[in-house]
Amino acid sequence: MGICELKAKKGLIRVSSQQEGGKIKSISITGDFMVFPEDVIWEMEKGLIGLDINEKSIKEAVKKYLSIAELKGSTIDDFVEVIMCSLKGE
Amino acid sequence: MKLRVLMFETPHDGYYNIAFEEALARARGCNIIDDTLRFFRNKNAVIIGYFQKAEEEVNLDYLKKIDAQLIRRPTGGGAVYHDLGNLNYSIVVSYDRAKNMSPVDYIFSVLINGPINALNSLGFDARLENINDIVVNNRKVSGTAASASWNALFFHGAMLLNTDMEKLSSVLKISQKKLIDKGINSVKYRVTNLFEINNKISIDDIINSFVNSYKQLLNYDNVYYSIPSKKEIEIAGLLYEEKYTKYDWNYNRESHSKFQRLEDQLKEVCKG
Repeated sequence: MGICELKAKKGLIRVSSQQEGGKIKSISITGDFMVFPEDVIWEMEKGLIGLDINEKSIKEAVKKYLSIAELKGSTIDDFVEVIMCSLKGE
Repeated sequence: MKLRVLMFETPHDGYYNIAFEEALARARGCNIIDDTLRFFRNKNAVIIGYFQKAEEEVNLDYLKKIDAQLIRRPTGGGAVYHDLGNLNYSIVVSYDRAKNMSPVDYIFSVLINGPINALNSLGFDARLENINDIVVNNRKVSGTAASASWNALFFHGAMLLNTDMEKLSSVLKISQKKLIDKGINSVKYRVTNLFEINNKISIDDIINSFVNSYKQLLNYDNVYYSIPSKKEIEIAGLLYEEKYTKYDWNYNRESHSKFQRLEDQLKEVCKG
């Protein structure tokens, strides 16, 4: 299990992830950040499972979900950075 | 336009208190109620944000020791400790209020001024810090959170009046990254009770100033005090039974969509 935390401008983003065969096996994004509509986080978690672990594909996937959401105090890059960090940490 | 004020609380049952928060948003979203400002307190509870996992945010052994309830709320943001020294406020308004900006921007640029104006009218020097924190004399007195789900604009917050700071700082786990970022070593050095700044004001003064503040801010013609409607109670009861008292909701960070049967039931109530 790789765990990484990032303190965004507002809120902490914590990612716990597992990988298998170069792909994301499980991922959980928790913390006190603010994203609207909220449930896009769970949709993104689902969408990330099975994805190849490389920054390009993860960034594309995160963008796909979060570009239609409103983020208060954090950025899409914050999410990409902390997801990559957790995957490297495993 | 009228503003309804609801003084409705179940301090011994935080699960119902928080279920009622979601019920307010849903009831406004399906036009069962007018715009509503609610006040409530919990006796002894930790309320975590929608994206938070209990074990990561709360000292569960200490929670058990002080016999506090743990409830997850439907909005993002951080964990808070509630006792009777903490006044919770929430406002839900029509989605149509946000005309020239996004609903979320409306909440954090307009609705958030309600508590700030209320405190300033009582002589405090309150201001907004870092998007959603309300500070007086550079110490946080109120955290706030919001949702634009359910076709309504919902904003709520917890106001520290004379909360037990030892319990607050012992039960909440604060990430070292956050403390380093703030340049402090414990959450209790960042927050303060309003009654420590001015012990002459009462909880009634604060409630009255909130009501006047929102009446002016949102240009309501009238304010009326009310009790929960039958339909609100029906919605809150469903949310309480099917979600807010469930371990999966409070401890396992499940999303709203996991409670599909409940969603179907709520749709029926909303329609009827």
